[in-house]
Amino acid sequence: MEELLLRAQEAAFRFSFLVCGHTQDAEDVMQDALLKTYRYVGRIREPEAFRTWLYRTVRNACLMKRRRRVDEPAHMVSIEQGMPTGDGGYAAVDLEDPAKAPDEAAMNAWLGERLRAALRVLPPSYRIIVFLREMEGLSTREVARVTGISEANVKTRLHRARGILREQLEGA
Amino acid sequence: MRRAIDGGCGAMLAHISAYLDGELDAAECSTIERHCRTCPRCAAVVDGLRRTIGLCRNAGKAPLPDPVRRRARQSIRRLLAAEAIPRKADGATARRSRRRRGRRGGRS
Repeated sequence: MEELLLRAQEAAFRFSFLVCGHTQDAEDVMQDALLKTYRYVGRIREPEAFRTWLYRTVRNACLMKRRRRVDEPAHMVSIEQGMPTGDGGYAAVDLEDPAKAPDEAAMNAWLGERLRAALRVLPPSYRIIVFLREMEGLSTREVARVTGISEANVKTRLHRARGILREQLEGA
Repeated sequence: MRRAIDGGCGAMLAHISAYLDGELDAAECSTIERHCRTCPRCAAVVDGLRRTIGLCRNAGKAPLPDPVRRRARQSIRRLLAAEAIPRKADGATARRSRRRRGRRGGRS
């Protein structure tokens, strides 16, 4: 059970970090995946169904994060001043724990700076295909189920994405 | 479905992903391989794509950075511990009611 939950969290972290480029949010998405997998785990019948369910769940969690970011206020509040409480007072601002943010050097050591930079050049709709197919080892059919596009479309996008990545990595 | 690969660079590049993914039959593969032996540009593209795919696959196998993995394990253990307490309590309640039912059954 613990290993399955760890795998779900790892997949969530990689997805959030590599596909969405959310370094700061990756661990929140991991937490979300952990709770949802824990609730879902009793219903797992086939490994393939679990994998597509997991990546769909993580994808939705990442999209929700992005939507929340769009809704953020237009102006920022001073940390020293704090948030207005409505009764004329000010409350302390909650800061993100810097210990939770994985540092750039550790992330580059993990993935390789060149590959990270090359992945950033890909359009998001191609990046998700490369991630699921090449990095996570999903079949074309599984990738089509997660992304909601046809298998033929998955193959086309993968073919183009590989070409772009090769050019970026080899400077062709 | 059988694809027509005429042996030219354009057709070769259009089928290259299918070739690298092992989706072509033996005849189609040998058309591509024959072309690459005489066309250094296409041969370089095939080699470059192989390296790119290899790099991505290796990156997918790399374990997460240690601090991230540690925090993931900690949150799993916290969740499992928190879930175990109500389950234990449920079990104790069920045992108590079974004992009570048993006592009532004995009296009648």
